[in-house]
Amino acid sequence: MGIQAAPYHTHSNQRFPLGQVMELPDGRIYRYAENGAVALAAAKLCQTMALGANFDTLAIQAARAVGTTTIPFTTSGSTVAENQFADGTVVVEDVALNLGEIYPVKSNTSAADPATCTLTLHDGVTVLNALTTTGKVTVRVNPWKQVIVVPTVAPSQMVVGVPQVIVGISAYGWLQTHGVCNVVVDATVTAWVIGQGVRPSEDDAGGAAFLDFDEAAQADKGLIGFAIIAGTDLDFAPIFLRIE
Amino acid sequence: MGFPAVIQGNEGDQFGDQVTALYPLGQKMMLPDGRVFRYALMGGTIGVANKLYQSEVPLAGWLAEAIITAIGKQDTRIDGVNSSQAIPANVFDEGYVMLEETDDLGAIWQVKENEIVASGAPGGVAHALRLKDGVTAGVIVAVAAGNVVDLIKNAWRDIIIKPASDQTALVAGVPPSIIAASDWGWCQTRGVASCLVEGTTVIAEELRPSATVAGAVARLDYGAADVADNGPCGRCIEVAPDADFCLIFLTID
Repeated sequence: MGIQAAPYHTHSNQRFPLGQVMELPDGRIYRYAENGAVALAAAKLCQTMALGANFDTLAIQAARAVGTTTIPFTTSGSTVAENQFADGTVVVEDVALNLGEIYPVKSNTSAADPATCTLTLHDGVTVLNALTTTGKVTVRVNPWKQVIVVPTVAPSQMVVGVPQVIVGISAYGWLQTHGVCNVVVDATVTAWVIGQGVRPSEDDAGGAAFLDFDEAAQADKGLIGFAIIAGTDLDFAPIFLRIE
Repeated sequence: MGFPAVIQGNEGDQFGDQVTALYPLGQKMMLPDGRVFRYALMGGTIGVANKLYQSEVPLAGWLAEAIITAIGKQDTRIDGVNSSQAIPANVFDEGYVMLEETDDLGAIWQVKENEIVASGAPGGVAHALRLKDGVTAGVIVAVAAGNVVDLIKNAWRDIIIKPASDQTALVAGVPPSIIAASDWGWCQTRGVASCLVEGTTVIAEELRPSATVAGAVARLDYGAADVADNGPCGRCIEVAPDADFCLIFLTID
C-alpha cells in the first residue's frame, strides 16, 4: 500500500524492485519503473523498451539438471550488459522438449556477441525440468525497465502505464496501470465517448484514442481503459485505466 | 494513511446498506474467493439488486473551470471559479481534480474536500478544493490563473442504473443487494456475480453493457457495429434466458 503523495515522487537511485506494485486506498495501482535515455513526459502512455528479436529463441549453451539455479545461453546478434535481465524472465520455448516453464531472473553475467551469458534464477527458484543443449530459451527484461513513451503509429512493445509526473533520464518513478488517470486525448479521427473504451493513439505519441471496434487495424491495439469525460483533442482528460 | 488499500472481507459483508458511510467512497473490498467490491453511494433513486450500475454523467459545469490564482509547487489547494453549476459540500471528496491544458502537463490529484458553491452564477463564484493529506501540487512550472481544471466525482458517488441505452458514463458495477436512495453499500466490480441479461449469450465469451435494456449485460460480439464499442464488462459463465439473471465473471475493476 502506498501513501497519497508517493506517485508524485521520482528517485535518482532505485528504491524498489522493478515492477513493484503499489496500490492507493482508492484502488489506483502503480508499478515501479526505470526510465530510459529520454525524460518521460507526465500523463503520457509508456511502453517497455524496444528489444528486437535478438533475445528470442536462443540456444541453451550447456545442459541443466533439475534443481540447478543457473541457465546459460548463447547470445545472438546483441551483446548483454551485466544484470540487464535482472527482475526479468526466461521462458523455455520448445514444446517438444519442455513444458513452457517461465523463471524469474535474479541476475545475469555480461556477454559479448556471440558468447555465453549465464542467468541466475531468483532465490529459491530452481530448474523444474532438465534442459538440454538442443533446447531454446527466450529472455526478456522486466517490462518496467527503461520504459519509453509509446511512439506515434503504434506501441512496439507492451503498454506498461502512465507516469503522473516528469521522470528524468535514467531516473525511477511510478507508472499508473489501473484506476482514474489523466492522459493525452487523441480525437483526430473520432471523439472519445464517455463510458466507452480508449486505446493507444496512432497519431499522437503517448496519447489515447477512442476504441472503435469497427476501425480496421487500429482496434487491434486493444483496450487500455474507459473514458470518464469526452475530452478535447490534444488536451488531457481522465480515463479509468485498465492496463492491469 | 487511513484505511488499507484493500479490505479483506468475509462472505456476507457485501450485503445490506448503511445510512451513514462506514468507509471512504470507492473503498475496495476483496472476499476470500477474489470477488472485488467498491463502497458506493446510491443516487437519488432506490437501487435494485443485481443490475448494472454506472457513474453519474459528468456535469458540463464542472469541466474546464478556470482557476483563480496560479498553482505553485507547494500548494495544497486549488481555487477555482465555478460559472454555471452549483457545488454541494464535499461532492468531490475522494474525487479528482485535473489540469486539462497541454502546457500544464496533465497533473491529476485526488480531492480531500471541497467548499460549497450554492449556485452557479454568470461571472463565476470562487471555491476551493483541498488535496489529500501529504499531497502538494508539485508543478515544475506554476499553472497560470485562468487555465482550466476538470472536477471529477468519485466513480462510485451517486451511482445510477445503466439506462436503456449505451452506458452514458463509466460502468461502476453490480450491487448484490438493494441500496436505498442516497444510502451506502457495496457494488461488485470483479469476480462471479449475478446480473440481468439481455438476449442470447455464449458461454465463456465476453459480455458488454446492453444497448437497449436498463441494468442489463449482453453478448459482446466484436463484429457488431457500434454496440461492441460499449466494451467488455465481464465474461459469461452461464447462459440464462433473456431477461433473467445470468452468472457473469465481472472484469470492471
